[in-house]
Amino acid sequence: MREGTYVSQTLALVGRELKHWYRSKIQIFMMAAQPLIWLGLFGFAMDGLMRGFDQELDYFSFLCIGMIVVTALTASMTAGMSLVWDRRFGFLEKVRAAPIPRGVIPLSKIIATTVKAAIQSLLVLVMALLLGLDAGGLSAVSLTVIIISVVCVAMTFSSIFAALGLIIKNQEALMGINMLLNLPLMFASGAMFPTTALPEALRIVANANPLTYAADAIRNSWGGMSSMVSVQSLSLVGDLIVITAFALVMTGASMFFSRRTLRRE
Amino acid sequence: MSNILEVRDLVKRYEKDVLAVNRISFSVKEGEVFGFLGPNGAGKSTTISMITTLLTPTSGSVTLDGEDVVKNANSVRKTIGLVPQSLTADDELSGRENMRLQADLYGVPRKIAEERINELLGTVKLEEAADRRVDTYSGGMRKRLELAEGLIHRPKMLFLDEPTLGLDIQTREIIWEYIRKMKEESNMTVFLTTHYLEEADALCDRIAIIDEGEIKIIGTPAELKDSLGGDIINAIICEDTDLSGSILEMAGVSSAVREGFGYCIKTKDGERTEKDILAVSVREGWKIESISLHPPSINEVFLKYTGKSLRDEDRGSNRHEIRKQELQNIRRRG
Ligand SMILES: Nc1ncnc2c1ncn2[C@@H]1O[C@H](COP(=O)(O)OP(=O)(O)O)[C@@H](O)[C@H]1O
Ligand SMILES: [Mg+2]
Repeated sequence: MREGTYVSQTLALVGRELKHWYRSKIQIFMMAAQPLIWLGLFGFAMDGLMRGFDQELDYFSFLCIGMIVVTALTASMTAGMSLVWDRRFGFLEKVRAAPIPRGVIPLSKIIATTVKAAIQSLLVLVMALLLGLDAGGLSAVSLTVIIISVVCVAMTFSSIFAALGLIIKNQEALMGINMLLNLPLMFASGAMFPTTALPEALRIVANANPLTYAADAIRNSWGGMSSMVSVQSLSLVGDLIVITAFALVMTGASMFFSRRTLRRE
Repeated sequence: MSNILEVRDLVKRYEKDVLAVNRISFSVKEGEVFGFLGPNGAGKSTTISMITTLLTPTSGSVTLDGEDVVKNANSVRKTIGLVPQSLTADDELSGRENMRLQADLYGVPRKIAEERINELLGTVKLEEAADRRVDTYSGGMRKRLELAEGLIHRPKMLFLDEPTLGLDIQTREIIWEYIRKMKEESNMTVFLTTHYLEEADALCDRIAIIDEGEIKIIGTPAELKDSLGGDIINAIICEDTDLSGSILEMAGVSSAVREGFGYCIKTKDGERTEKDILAVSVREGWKIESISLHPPSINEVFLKYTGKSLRDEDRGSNRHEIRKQELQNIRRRG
C-alpha cells in the first residue's frame, strides 16, 4: 500500500460521517432547536433566580458560554450511537475486514464527531449573540479559544463514547448510559452554574470535569467575564493546557482500548 | 498448483456449549472455485469469519498466501476480498459513493479507482442506479453492489458467503456469471458457501460438505457423485407380481426395491438398465406407468454423508414423497 494511506482511509471514513450529517435535514434542525430552547427558556427564566443568589452575576451571559461547551458534550454522545448503528447495519464488519489499523475506526468517529460538535457549538454562539449576549467580548482571541475549547471537549467525550459504543452493542443500553452520564457531566461542572453555587460533593466532581476548564477558558478570554470563572487559580493558558491534555490522553486511550476490543472479537 | 489457503485443525467455540466449528482441515488451490456446502448453522459463516480475520479462532491455524491470518491480519486483508452474508453497504450513500469509500479503505489510487468503479458497476449491471442512494435499491441490487465492492482492490482470493441466498433468479444468474468470469479472466481463487446444491454443483471445482461444524467429505462434484456408485431409476410398473427379482438379474443392477407398484433401482449404467427394462416389458407385457432415470446428484451425496436431505429443508418435500403420492393415486385408480 502507498504511503499516507492511513490518512486517506481516516479521511474517507470521516467524509462518510459528515455526508450523513449534512444530508440529514432533521438532524440539522434539531441541532439548532435544542440550544435555542435552553437559552430562550432556561437562560431568561433563571436569570432572575440566579441574581437572588449573586447580585453581580449576569446569568444569561454565563449560561451562553456554558451552553457552547455543553453543546459540544451532547454532540459527542452521538459517537457511541453511530458505532452501534454501524454494527447493526453491517458497515462495521466491512470496515473491520478492510486493511486499516484498528485505531482508525475510533479515530475517524472522534474526528467526525468533533467537526460536527464544533460547528454546532459555533451555531450556539451565533444564536446567543442574536438573543442578546453582549458581542463586546468577541475577539479574535476569544473566537480562537472557543474553537480550541469545543474541539478539546468534543475529542475528550467522543473518545469515551466511541469506546463505550464498541463494548455496549445494544442501542437501548447505550442510550440509557448516555442519559445517565449526560446530566451529571453537564451539571457537575462550571458550565451551567458557577461551581461556588454547587454543594461540596458536586464541586469536587466539577473540578475534575474538563467542561469546567473549557468554560473557564472561554470566560477568561471573553472581555468582562473573567470574574465568572470557576477555578480562579488557573489563567487562560492553564485552562487550555488542562483541556488539551484531557483531549489527547482520552483520544489515545480510546484508540488503544478500541484496538484491543476490536481484535478480540 | 500451489495452495493459497491452508486450514489446520480449526476450532471455534462460541460459548461453553456452542461448538460452531469442530477441528476442520482443508486447503484451497490457487485459481480454483472451492465451495462449502451445508445447511443453516453448519458453521460456514463462522469459518469464513475466521479466515477473513473477523473472528479469532479458538484453536488451529489458517495460512493465507503464506501469511498467518491472526499474526499478519492486515496483510491478509489486503490479499482478500469479502462479500459477507449480511449486507454492509452504507445505505445513505449512493452506490458509487460506497464504491469510492471502499477504494479509499483499500488504498486504491483515485484515478485507477474511477475506472474500475465504472467497469465493476457495469459487470453487476448497476450503471443506471449508480448515483442513487442505496436505500432505494432492491435486495438483489444491494447484493450486486456488495459483489462489486469486494473486487475493487483486485484481491487474489475472494470470499462469498451465501452469495445468492434469497435472491431472484435473474440476480442469481448475474452472480453465477460473475463468478465464472472472475475465474476465467483473472484466475482469481474463489471460496463460496452455499446451501443450494445446484449452486455448488454448477460453480465449484471442489466441494466440501460441512455439517454440524465438521467436514464430511471433500472432492470434485464428479468424485462425490462417483462415490455413490451409480445412477438411480424410479419406475412404476402396474403388475401384481413382484418384479424386483427379474430386474436384479439385469446387467449392472446392484439393488431393486419394491414399494407397491414403485421400484427404486440402483445401477452402474442408468441408460442401459432403462433400455433393458423397456425391452423386457415389451416381451413380458409389463404395464409401465412411468420410468425415470436420475443420475446421482449432490443431494444424494449430501444424504449419504450427513444423513440429511438439503432439499427437505428448502422445499418441504422431496422426490421420494412425490413418488409415494403418485403410487397412492395409482392404487386408488386401480
Ligand atoms: N455470535 C455467536 N454466538 C453464539 N453462537 C453463534 C454465534 N454465531 C453463530 N453461532 C452458532 O454457531 C453455529 C454456526 O453458525 P454459522 O457459522 O453462522 O452457520 P452457517 O453460516 O453455516 O449457517 C450455529 O449453531 C450458530 O447458532
Ligand atoms: Mg451463514
